[in-house]
Amino acid sequence: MKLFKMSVVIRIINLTIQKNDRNILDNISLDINEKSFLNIYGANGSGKTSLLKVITGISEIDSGEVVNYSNNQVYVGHKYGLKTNLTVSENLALDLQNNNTDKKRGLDEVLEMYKMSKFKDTLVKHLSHGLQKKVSLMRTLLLDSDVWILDEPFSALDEEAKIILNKTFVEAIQQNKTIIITSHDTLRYDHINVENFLLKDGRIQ
Amino acid sequence: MEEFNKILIKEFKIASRSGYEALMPIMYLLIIILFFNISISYISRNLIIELTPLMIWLSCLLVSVLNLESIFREDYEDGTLDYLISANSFHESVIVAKVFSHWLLTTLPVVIISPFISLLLGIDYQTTLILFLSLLIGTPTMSLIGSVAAALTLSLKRGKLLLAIIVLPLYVPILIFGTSAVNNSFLQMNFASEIIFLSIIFLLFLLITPTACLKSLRLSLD
Repeated sequence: MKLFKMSVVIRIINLTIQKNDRNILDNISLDINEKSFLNIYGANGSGKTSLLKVITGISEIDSGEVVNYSNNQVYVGHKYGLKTNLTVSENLALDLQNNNTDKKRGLDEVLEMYKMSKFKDTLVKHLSHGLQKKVSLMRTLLLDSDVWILDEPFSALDEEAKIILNKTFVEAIQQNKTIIITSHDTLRYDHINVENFLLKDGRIQ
Repeated sequence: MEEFNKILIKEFKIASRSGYEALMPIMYLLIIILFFNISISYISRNLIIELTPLMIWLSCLLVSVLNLESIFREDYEDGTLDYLISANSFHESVIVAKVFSHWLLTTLPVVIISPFISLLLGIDYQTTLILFLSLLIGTPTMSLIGSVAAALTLSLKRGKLLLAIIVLPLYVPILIFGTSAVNNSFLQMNFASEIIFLSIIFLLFLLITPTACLKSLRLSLD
């Protein structure tokens, strides 16, 4: 029997974040292994977005430590990071410019996967909320990053887009990516293991 | 340098699609100068000519302050800042490129049009040239200083007034050296030392502000 040793890609040690004298995150410790699929779920205001922002390095830490060993990650948050006066393809081309990785899928291939080819030359400001979300999620495929950090990726998506996203997740895990998402519920897939963590009152239950 | 150019191209592309907004600073400058002229129209012609270059300098400073808020505002509101920081793609050189492109798009048109206004209002060629030169060095310095304040007030919904209160006292040395150079030129006196001091201030803030701005942005995003 061959044994696989999982290496830690993100290590969180005794993390605490305070805002307005309230512990948003309260003494959280967590090891996130590479090639794992983590779903952090919980109610609104439970600290999910704060946790992701700390992991990605956007927010500062009050106490504790977050060690992120990944140097090739993609983050899609509640704000999509799209330039509304640029077209879909121009926005995605910018992402390719900003990212240092060499492993990139073709722009047309990714647009086709998400059935967005017809919107290629449309200004982002003319797209609906859901379509803008799709464009932001396309980055995960386009940049082919090793770690995907997605804040409520299923929100604002239609059923067809949710199916595509689920399929993308399964393929990504099979390709040894690490996925960290937040949602309001547990997540299960037939062929891949999802580690569901409930975040309540700033603590992982 | 390649990254710097890419940011400039991106900012120009976005600005080219924002329509009439690019003309706003010039319109604002013309209106301020018109108001200045109306308010001092009753004093002697010689005094007006002496005050005009200083009035243009002050008007450019005010236009520069009004534009500061927009340096990082759009990137903050649409999530680009979050995205770039998470991808480790936001560092000092990006900040310099952002500030420079912002200056090119919002303040340089005002700097370019100022000598024409100066000549139209009867100022001599040499003073006009020094006015242009002092603005060319002074206004990017103001943008660099303003970028830190813009970053600090980014998360505030009504931060524009606070931003002006923070930056205006810091602009005093630039205003003194800038207007002094123009005034010395008008009075046929030596103006080289003022221009050198303006250049030193520019280089000093070019070194300091990107790091300070990055730290301020992270505080605002927190």
